[in-house]
Amino acid sequence: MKTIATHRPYWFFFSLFACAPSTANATDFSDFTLEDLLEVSITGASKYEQKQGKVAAAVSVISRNEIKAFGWRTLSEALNSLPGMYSTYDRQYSYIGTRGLGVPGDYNSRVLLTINGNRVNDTVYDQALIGREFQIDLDLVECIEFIPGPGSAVYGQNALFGVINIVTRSGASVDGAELAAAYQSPQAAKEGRATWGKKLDNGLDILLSASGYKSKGDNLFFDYGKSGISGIANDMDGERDKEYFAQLARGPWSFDFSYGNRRKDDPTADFLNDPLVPGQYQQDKSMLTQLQYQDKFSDDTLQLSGRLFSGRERYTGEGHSSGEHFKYTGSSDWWGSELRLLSTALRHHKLMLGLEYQDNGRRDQTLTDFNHLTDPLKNANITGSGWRQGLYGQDEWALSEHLSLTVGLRIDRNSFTKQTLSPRLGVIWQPTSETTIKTMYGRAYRAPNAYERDYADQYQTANPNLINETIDTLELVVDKRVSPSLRLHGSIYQWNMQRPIVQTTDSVSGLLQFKNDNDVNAHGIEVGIDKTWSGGGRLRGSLNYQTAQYSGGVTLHNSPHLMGKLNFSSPLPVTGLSLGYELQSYSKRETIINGTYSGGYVLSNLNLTANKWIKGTELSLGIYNLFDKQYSQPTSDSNWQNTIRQDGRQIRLKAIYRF
Amino acid sequence: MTRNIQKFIYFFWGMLLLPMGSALATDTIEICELKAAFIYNFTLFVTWPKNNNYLRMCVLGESTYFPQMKTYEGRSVNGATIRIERVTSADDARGCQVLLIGESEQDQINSITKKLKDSPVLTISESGNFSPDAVHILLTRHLDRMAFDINQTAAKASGLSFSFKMLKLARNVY
Repeated sequence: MKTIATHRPYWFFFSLFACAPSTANATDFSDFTLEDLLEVSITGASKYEQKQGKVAAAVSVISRNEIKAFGWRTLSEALNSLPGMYSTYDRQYSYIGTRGLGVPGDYNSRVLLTINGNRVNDTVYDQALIGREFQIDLDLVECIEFIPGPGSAVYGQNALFGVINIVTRSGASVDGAELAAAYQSPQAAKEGRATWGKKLDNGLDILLSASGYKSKGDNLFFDYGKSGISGIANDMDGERDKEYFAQLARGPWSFDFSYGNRRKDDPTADFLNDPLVPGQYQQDKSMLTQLQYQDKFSDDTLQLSGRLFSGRERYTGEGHSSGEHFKYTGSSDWWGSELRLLSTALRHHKLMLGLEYQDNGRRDQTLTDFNHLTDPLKNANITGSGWRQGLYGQDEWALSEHLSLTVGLRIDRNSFTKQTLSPRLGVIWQPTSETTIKTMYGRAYRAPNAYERDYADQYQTANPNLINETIDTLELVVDKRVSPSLRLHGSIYQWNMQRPIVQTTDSVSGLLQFKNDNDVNAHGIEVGIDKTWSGGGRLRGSLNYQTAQYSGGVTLHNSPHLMGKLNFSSPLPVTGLSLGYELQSYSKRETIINGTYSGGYVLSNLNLTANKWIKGTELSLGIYNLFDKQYSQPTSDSNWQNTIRQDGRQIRLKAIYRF
Repeated sequence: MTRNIQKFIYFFWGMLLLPMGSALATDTIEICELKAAFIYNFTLFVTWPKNNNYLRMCVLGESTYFPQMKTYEGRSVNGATIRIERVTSADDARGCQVLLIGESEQDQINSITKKLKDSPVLTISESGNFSPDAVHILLTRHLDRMAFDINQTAAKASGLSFSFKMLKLARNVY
């Protein structure tokens, strides 16, 4: 298993050997204490997180080793291992719930997803794609960073419940070619990947990769609720996905490009389409690219980073409604730039100043009724464009050896709503080197997106009066290192969301419309443990309790009160195998359609990896939903079904060959 | 709309032109800096049998983080000024207080430490096993962090002692 630290050395200026460059912003470790150094996470090239004890957030990092150990296939599976996170799958997309908020019908617009710091959320739906639809193959991920809580003070809109940053591997980390193939039963899912990466003698680091996936899916029985129809949806659960990734880095420059094209057949007949009719699907073609520059000046006290980025998302959905053939599209094009300065020139201060601008050149939505192409009521062509810009500043002020203060503010403007302020305040107290206590306050926001604001057809009406939703979060985090191999963690939090944008039925017209709804209040508590053993074993566990309610006292839909997570990984002596076992438990969740509950459930996943059985080959066997637990998750009110049954036991065999 | 494009163009050129001021790129990664910081920190918790004006930190063979080690030159540790030097053999290293055995010498670790076992030289490497005459400190990765193991038996035999705090922070003490 290769890591940054064990890269093959290469020639470099004055030394024969040197470390591989990375997109990392170089933290100055020269004044760190030994305790501090032991806390530095070295999983990836994080722009935002190096020293977890000193960051004004309860950052979680999922390393590549963990992704391999547990055999996670999608981003949502990896995120599910984190405290308080729960995903929901409607056999089309995966949705992530955090801190009690996972409202059915929310397209992950309340978390910000980034690839190497570059925003993935599109500009029509604000959607963070976290299932198979995410455009990066998980084998190419160096680490996943999750910064929970409000992140708008630095990152701008959508970071209401957190920022998920994907750090990709470097060419040096691949150092050669990799071929991967996997087969999963009973879905008859085949996948393959070819990757080449190298750091050339001239310092250029290159990574190129292509992946493909094809699944027949399951033949599931569905009850299509009030349509009165039920039956087995044969061959309607297929999925196809193609992913391409390219990355070039040299010195302070780096460039990356990713593209994904994923199509998922819809057996559920979502949007109240005609049940059991084949050929209904959702498709997303997502492209994202950026050019980054990052370097240090003035005796390393000034760090400058700049980036140019561009993104493109093409959504297409087809369905049949009352015998008529419909097609929906949503198209986003955007580009922009960000400039950031980080200065440590002033003693005890770490000042950051940034400016971001994004032009949303295209935000188009269409509806086509192939049976009535000329009927204006049954067709729609809504075009739009817009922009957003933000100016932000932050200071990390070390008041003393034990106490530091983080103050940040971002001012955002966009073409839809008025100016928004997102402040942030964190007090970090380290009474001893083993204990860190953080108190944090932050405000984050989200502007209404083009779908919520502009879309109109015969079922939905537009709402140009929508305003931003905002969230205020207060959190207390205690982190205690009992010994170098045992850490305990606890946090309590409360959040208050003002004017959340939710889909409602307009009482006058009877049409669906997005409106700013009643405030939501929530509070929760979470405890966690992280224990390692010198033999290489690690146990990570968490327990989470929360309640989230509208101001009238009504509990949020799809919001489990209690969650438990346990992840254990260890080499198995003698056998040459490594084991990864995860156990997750979720309490019941209220459904949106008839207000009943989808029952609580306990899930087990097991993954075995053999590194040394065959030279250059890594074999793994993953058994997901080990005990074949039958369970369901709530759907949104555009579905016939109240809940959707999830996959039973799945077995995946995977081989990675390196040369 | 055109105003926004104009703004964007200003950003673009601002971003491209600003960095032109500096031609030299710092091309090192945090891990190098991190490891160098560990080596420096270790010296704060070790007691040598006799005090010197200089604390000679020597590197045998090639180490990826020699450049980062250099940045600690001139710092003072308990009254001794740090010097970062290269040495070419174990015999050369007898006058050093610290010897970092570079990645290129990993195969020779046992013979190097054997030669130095009676000299008060703190030996550090990133690989090796712990026998009575092996390296004193093993710097290693453990999951997503760096960790270190201490060979107290070997260090004592060489006349070196570690502070209690360092022993407490070590992953393993042998």
